[in-house]
Amino acid sequence: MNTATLVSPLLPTMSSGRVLRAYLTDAKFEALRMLRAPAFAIPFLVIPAPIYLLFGVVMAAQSAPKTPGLYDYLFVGFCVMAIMGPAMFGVGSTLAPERDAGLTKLKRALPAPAGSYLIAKFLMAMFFAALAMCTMIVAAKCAGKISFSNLQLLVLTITLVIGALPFCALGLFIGAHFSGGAAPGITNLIYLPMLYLGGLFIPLPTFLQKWVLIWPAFHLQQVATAVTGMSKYQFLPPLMAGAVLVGVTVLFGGLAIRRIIKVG
Amino acid sequence: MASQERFHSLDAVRALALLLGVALHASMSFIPGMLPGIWATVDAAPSVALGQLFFVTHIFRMSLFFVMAGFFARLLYMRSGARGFWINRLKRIAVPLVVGWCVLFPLYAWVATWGVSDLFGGKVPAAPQQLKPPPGFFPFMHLWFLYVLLLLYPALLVLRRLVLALDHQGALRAALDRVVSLILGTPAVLVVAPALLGAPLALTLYQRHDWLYWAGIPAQDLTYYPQLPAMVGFGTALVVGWVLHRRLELLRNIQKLWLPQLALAIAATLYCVAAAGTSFGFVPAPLGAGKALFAAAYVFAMWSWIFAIMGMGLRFCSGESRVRRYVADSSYWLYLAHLPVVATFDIVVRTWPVHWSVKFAFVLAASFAVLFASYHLLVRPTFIGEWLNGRRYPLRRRKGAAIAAGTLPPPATAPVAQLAAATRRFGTITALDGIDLELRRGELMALLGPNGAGKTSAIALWLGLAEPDAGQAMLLGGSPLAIERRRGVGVMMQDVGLTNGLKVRELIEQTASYYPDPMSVAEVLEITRITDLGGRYYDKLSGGQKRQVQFALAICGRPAVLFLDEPSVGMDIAARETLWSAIRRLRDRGCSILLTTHYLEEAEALADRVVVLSKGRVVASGTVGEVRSIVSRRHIRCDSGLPADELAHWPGVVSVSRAEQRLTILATDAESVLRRLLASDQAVANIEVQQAGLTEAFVELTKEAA
Repeated sequence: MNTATLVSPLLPTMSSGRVLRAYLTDAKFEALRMLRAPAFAIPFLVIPAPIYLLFGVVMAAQSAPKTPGLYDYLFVGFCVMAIMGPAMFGVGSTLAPERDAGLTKLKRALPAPAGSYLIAKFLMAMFFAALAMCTMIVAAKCAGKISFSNLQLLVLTITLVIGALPFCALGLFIGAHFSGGAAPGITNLIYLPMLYLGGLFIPLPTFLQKWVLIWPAFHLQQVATAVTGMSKYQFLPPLMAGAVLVGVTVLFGGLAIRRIIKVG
Repeated sequence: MASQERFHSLDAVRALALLLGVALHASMSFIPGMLPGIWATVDAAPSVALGQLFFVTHIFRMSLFFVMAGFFARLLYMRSGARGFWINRLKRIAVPLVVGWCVLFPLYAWVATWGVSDLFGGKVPAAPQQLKPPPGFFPFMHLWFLYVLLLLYPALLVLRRLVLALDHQGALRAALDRVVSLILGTPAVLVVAPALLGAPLALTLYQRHDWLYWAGIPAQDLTYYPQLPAMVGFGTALVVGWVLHRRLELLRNIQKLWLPQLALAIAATLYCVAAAGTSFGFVPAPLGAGKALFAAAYVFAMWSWIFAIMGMGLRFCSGESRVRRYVADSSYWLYLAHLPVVATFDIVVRTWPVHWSVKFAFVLAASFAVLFASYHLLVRPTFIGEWLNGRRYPLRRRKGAAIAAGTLPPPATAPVAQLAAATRRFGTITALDGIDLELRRGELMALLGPNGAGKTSAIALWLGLAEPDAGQAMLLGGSPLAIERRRGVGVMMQDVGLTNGLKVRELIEQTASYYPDPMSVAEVLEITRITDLGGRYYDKLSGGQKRQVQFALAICGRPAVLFLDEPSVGMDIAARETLWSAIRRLRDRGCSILLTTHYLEEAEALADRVVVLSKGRVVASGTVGEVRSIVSRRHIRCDSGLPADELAHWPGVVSVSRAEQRLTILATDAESVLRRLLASDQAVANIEVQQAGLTEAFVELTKEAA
C-alpha cells in the first residue's frame, strides 16, 4: 500500500453517478437483510396469498353468484392488505430499534446522502409490496376467479406498489415516535383495526360504514378500484382518495422526519 | 450564523419566491373566469384548484421576495458602501429592466397576440372595459418588480440617512431595536408581527375602491405612477429584510417557530380562500366589515407565510448544496425570461383534451426545461451570467478542478476542525461552555475528560449532529452541515448499533458507497486485520469485534479527518495493538485524528497533543509531557514501618497507600517529604522516586476544575 491510498484529499467531490449508487446500495442491503429475516419475510410474503385463497375464494364462493364482481373486489382488498404489512412493519418496526441504537445518528454523521437511510426503507417496502403482489397474482390466476386482464393487473400492481408509500409514512411516524419495544405493538394496534374497519373485505355494520373514510386503506382501495375500472365499488372520487393518500404521506412522513432530525 | 458566510438558506428562499412566480403565471390560463387579454390565453379546461393555488401563492410570493431583497440590499450596502451599492443595483436591476423590457416586450406581445387570436378564431377583438389602460400607462409586464425596487431603494436609503441624522446619540435606534427584538425576537413574531407589519397594507387595501380579493396587492405592472398598496406593502417588506440583516440573531427565533407560524399561515389562508370564494370576477368588494376582515386576514396570512417559509429555509436549507446553489443562481434569469416561454406552452396545451393537471404539469415541465437549458448554455457561461449573478462559470469544468461550489478546501495552515467559543446546552446542563478547540492538520489529538466533560458533545458539533447554541463549529473550513465536508471525514461513535442482518463485508461495502473514492472491501479488511470476520454477521460478533468493524467503517472512505470516540473500549490487547498501529499508520499518512479515550495509556501511546476537558471547558492542553508537568507530582515508593495514617498528615503528601511493607506516597513536594521520611525512619529501604503519569495529572486537573 502506498502512502496516498489511505487518505483522500481534503474536499473530494463525488459524481452524481456515485451518489445514485450510494442510494441504490443502501436500498439493496435494506432489502437483502429483510429477505434474510424470516420473522418479516414469511408473514408478509408467504401468508397473504393463502389468506386470500381461503377468504377471498373458498369462503366467498357462496355469496359470489349473488354479487357480481365480488371476487374482483375481494382480490383488490387482499392486495391492499398484502402491501400494507411490509410497508408499515418493514419501516416502523425496523426504524424504532435502530433509532434506539443510534444508527440514525451515525448515518447522519457519515456522509450518507440526504435521506438515503429512509429512502432505502421505502424502496425496500415497495420491493416487498411488489413481491407480495406477485404471489397474490399467481394465487389468483391459479384460483381463476378474477376477471382482470394482464394489463389491469399490471396497472393494479404499479398503483399498489406506489400506494405503499402512505403506509410507509405511517410506519415511519410510529418508528420515529416509539421505542423499539413498543413500535411493533403500536403498529399492530393500527394495522389490524385498519384491515377490518377500512372495509377492505368484510361487510361493515351500517354505523361503521361512514367511518371507513378515516382509514388510508380504504382510500387506497378506492384508487385501486378506480384504476381497475370497478365502478360498482367506487364510493369516492379517485382523485380525492389519491389526495388523501398524498396528504397522509406528507403529514405523517413530515412529522416523522422532523422528529428524526430533531431527536435522532 | 456567521455574517461572513454565504446565506445559503435565504438564497434558497429568494429562489423559491422567484420560481413560484413562474408557476403562478403558468397557472393563469386555467383560472376560471379569467378575461381574455389579461393573460395570453384562456384554457379550455379551467380549474378551481389551480385558481386557488394562484390565489394562495399570490398572497405572499412577491412580498417574500422583497423581504429577501431588503436583507441582501443591506448585506451589499455594508460590504460595498453607497457607491458600490448603486453601481451594483444599476447593473443588476436597472439594466435588466431596460434591456429585458426591450427584448421581452415585443416577444411577449407577439405571443399574446397569437394566443388571443387563437382564442377568437383568428380575430383580435377590442379590449373589454376592464382592461382600459390606467393613467400613466406603461406595460412593465412581470418586470414591474424591478421598477418598484428602483423606486424603493432610494426611499429606503433616504430613510436610513434621516434616522442617522436625527439620532446622533443612537437613542432612537436603541429604542427601535428594543421594539424589533420584542416583536421579531420573541414568540410575538407568530401573531403580533404579522398583525403590526401588515396593518398599513391592510388599511391601503381596504380603502381602495377597486380592490379585487383575488388580485391581492395590485401589481405595478401597467403604470409608472407609484401605486400606494405596492409601495406600502413591498416597502414594509424591504425594510423588514433590511432590519433582519442588521439583527441576524432574530433569524434564530424565526427558524425556531417555523411550524406554528406555518399553521397560522394555513389557517389565515383557509379563511381567505373561503371568503374570496371561487369567483375570479371583476366586481370589487363593497366597504364594510367583511372587506375589513378579509384585508386583515390577507395581510396576516402574507406575513405568516413569509416568516414560515424563511423559518423553513433556515431550518432545512442551511447547508451548502450544489443543486440549491445552481437553482438559486439560475432563478433570477428564469424569472426574467419566463413570461413568453410559459405563455407559449399555455397556448400550445389550450385545447388538448386531457385533464388540467396533465396540461399544467406539462407546461411547468416544458417551461422549466427550456428555461434551465437556456440558463445553462446561454447565461451561466457567458457575460449575461456575469452581469446578473456576478460570476461566469465555464460550461465544462476542468478535470481536477471539480470542487463543489462554495466548498473550497481550507488553506494548508488552517485547522481541519475547529470550535470557536462554542456553547452547547441540554436544558439547564451546559455540556460545552464557550469552548475554543482546534484539530490541526496531520496531528493526532487526544481529548480526555471524565464522563460528562463534553467530549462527545464536541464531536457531535464537528459532525453536524448538533448545532452550537452560541459560537461556531467548523469542519474543513466551513459548516459541518455540508455533506461535501463530511465526505472527508470518518467516524467511530460510542454506543452505536449497526444494521442487523448484514455481514461485515456488506456493511463495509455499504459505508464505502457514501464516499467518493473509498478503499476496496478487501483492503479495509486487511488493514484492520479482520479478514476472517468479513463473512460473518455483524450482530453475531463479540463487543470487541464489533468495535473493530466500526473502526473499519470509519476508515473505509480514506478520510482526511478521523473522529474516534473511545475506539478501544471492549477490545482485547491484541485487537487494541492492531488498532493502535492502524491509527499510527493513518496519522503518518497525513490523516488528522481526534481521539477521545478513557484509557490514558492510549493517549500517551498515540497522541501528539492532549486536551483535557472538564465541565465543558478546556482545563489543560499541550503534549503529553507538558500536561503531565502542569501538575508536578511524584510517587515515592519505599519499604518502611511508619504508619500510613500518620504519613498522610505530613505537609506535601497527597495520598498514601500500603501493601505489606511497601509504602506508596503521592507527593507534591517530594524533596521535603523524603527528608522527613529519612529522618523519621532509620530503617527505610528501597527508595524509588517517579514522576506521576498522565493518569494522575488527569485526575488532578479534572478534580481542580470541579
